Amino acid sequence: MVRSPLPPQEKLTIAVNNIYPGSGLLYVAAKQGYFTQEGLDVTFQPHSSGRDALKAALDKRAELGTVADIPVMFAAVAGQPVSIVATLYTASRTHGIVARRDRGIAGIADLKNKVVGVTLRTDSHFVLSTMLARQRIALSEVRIEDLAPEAMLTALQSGKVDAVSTWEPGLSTASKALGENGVEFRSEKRFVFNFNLAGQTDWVKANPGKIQGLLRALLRAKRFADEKPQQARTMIVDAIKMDPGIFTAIGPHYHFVVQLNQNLLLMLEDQARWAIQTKLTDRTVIPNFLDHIYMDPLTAVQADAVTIVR
Amino acid sequence: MQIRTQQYLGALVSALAIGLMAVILILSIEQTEGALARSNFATAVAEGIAGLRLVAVDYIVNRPERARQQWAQRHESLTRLLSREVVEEADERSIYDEIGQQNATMQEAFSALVELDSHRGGSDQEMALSRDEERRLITQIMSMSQDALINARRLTRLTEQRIAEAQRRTTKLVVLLLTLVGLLITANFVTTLRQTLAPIDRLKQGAEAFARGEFSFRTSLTVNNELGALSQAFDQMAARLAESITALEHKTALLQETNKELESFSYSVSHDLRSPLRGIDGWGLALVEDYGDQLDATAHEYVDRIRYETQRMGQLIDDLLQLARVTRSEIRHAPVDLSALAQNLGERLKQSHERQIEFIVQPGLTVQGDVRLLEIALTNLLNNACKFTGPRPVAHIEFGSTLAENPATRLREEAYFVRDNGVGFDMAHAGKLFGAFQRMHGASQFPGTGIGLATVQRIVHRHGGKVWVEARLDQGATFYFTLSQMSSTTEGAKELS
Repeated sequence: MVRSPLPPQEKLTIAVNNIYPGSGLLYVAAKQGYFTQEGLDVTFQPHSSGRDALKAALDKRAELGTVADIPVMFAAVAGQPVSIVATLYTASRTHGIVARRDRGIAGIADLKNKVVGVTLRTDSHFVLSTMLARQRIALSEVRIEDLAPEAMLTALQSGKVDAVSTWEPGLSTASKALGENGVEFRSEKRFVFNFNLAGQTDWVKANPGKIQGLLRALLRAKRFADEKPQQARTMIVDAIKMDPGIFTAIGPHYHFVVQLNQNLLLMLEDQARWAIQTKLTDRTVIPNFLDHIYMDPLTAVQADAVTIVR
Repeated sequence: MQIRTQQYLGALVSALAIGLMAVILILSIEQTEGALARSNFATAVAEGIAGLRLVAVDYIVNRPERARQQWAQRHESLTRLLSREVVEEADERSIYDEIGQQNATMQEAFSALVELDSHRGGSDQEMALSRDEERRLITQIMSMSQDALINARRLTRLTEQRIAEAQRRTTKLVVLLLTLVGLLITANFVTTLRQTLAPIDRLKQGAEAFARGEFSFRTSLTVNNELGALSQAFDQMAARLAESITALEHKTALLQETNKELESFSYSVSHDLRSPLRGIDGWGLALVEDYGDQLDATAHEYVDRIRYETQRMGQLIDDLLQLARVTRSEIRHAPVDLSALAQNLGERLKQSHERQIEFIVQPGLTVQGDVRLLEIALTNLLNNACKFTGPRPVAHIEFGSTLAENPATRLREEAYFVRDNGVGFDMAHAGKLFGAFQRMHGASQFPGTGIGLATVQRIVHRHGGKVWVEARLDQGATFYFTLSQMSSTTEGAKELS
């Protein structure tokens, strides 16, 4: 069979959290050559958190970034021109707290007045807050230590912090490292976190064609992952250098998707409300997040993937 | 390929195609029914989720215990429904799994909400945290139920697509198979036409050539079927016939040669015998005239007998010479008015006989033939009729034409006839009637040489015709004869028959 010639390639830089599986479909699409077939010459710019990846996009060091809800929420609350174009990954029970038993911690209620390491303004910050709230403990009743994700394990092992609130794979790594001395509290199933593809609003609205090509490639990658999950998992594990055992363990709680749904809106609003109440922002008004979700490209590529009520 | 094999093969392939269509249709019906059942199941799941959502809203707004109980019942029935293994397709199964997880998550959130309600109160901070938690739980229930409903709708759409796909696939396959069967039937039809009609035409040409006597014609068909085999047999038969005919022609030529020699011999003998016979008769007459008074009665009787036998032998020789002449003489075809000929002969016979003879002649019978020979033939037949009606007070003799059955061919054909009301004869002896010197009656009763009918047959044969007789003892006889060119007899035949 004669292959049709490749379309002219357009350059696209995507800032990715390269230690979290949330960007998995991007790696699969790249490995399978779907971007090239869509006329995109994609470069991944690695970051250790989605927050940094989004910052890179907003600072125009990259066109797009892969990021959880919280950083997008903070950017939107701060009035920054950020837009989500698709959710690429949803996960529950991938966030949680690992605590040291030798610091007298057996349950979440024991965290009161303890030092908890957390990456501020991330999902883990929000998860810590909601888990404490279930025990009628305010976030202000624990001593928060802002830590980068990669610094969590050392801080916990050294005793600098009594507990850490983080996400996979750091969560399992920390739990494993503490062994008998560790106790783990996972977020409940009902907390479904989104990992999104977002960028500066002006840029995404000016480049619908590029985004559509990108989304088409990601939809193909999703079909590939659905049909050949083992191969897709190998590609992702290789890309993010993650322990395959951990990736397998969290398997039942994550889903690779290409969608925009109502839960994203509700989660952003819930987190905004939390950020305002906990004075993590000096703003007092929850923004209209519909203005920060750019639905047109995904609607054009696959209309039924957009289930946000309109 | 043999026509039989081709037809069997065509019928077999058609039957297989029809069988395949039946199987496809049955499978399609099963697939459609399966997809329909799954569609109904998806609808039931959607209704279950919608109900759950309704009682959740009711509980959130009014907090009645009844709504909590309804939630518990509906959640349980939905869980039971979702645990049923009705789906084999991976994509549908995956959506069901997702709905199952969403159902479990909704239950988790609803239970947390109910639990939260049972621990209300506390400090302002605790109250505020509770309100936040409550709002979050409500949002989660609503969001999750929305997602579950969307999933249920996706399932319905998928099953509907599957029904449509199954129907489309079936239609395409049936159309494809029908087209194939159609092409097969057409190909079979065209091939059969090509392999049968053309060979049949050729065989027909062969049969027509045979009918014309062209035995050198060969069908020479190369088709590999029953008609090919028939053609070979036909050509072999033609070759054998051609050989037989050549052999027959050779034998006929030999026979003609021999016949010619015999005729020449008998003519010479007959001709040479006539002079001595005339001499004997003349000398007998001279004996009576010159010495009659010296002979007694017995001597006179002896001389009379010598002269009678001599004259009889002369007649016999004359008849033989006539037979030889009709055989050897050249045929000169010309229009002959048989009716007029018969009429004249009849008049002459009436004049030469003193008894009462009634002649009936059908008028207008003309034919192409040799008038001289045909007159001899008619004279013999009419003389015969006169002779054998001798015992009748009134002789009835009729000449005409009619449709009569030829006993040799069993076919009815137009024939001339001479009918009389004479003594007739037993048909058991009819076979030898036309042979020379064959007689049915004694010479004393009905004089004659037995050569007349042989002469008639020879003349008729030389005209390409046939002669036969129908008679019954004491009830007269009818002699039929045909001539190769009986062109003008139809009208008369109708009149008589």
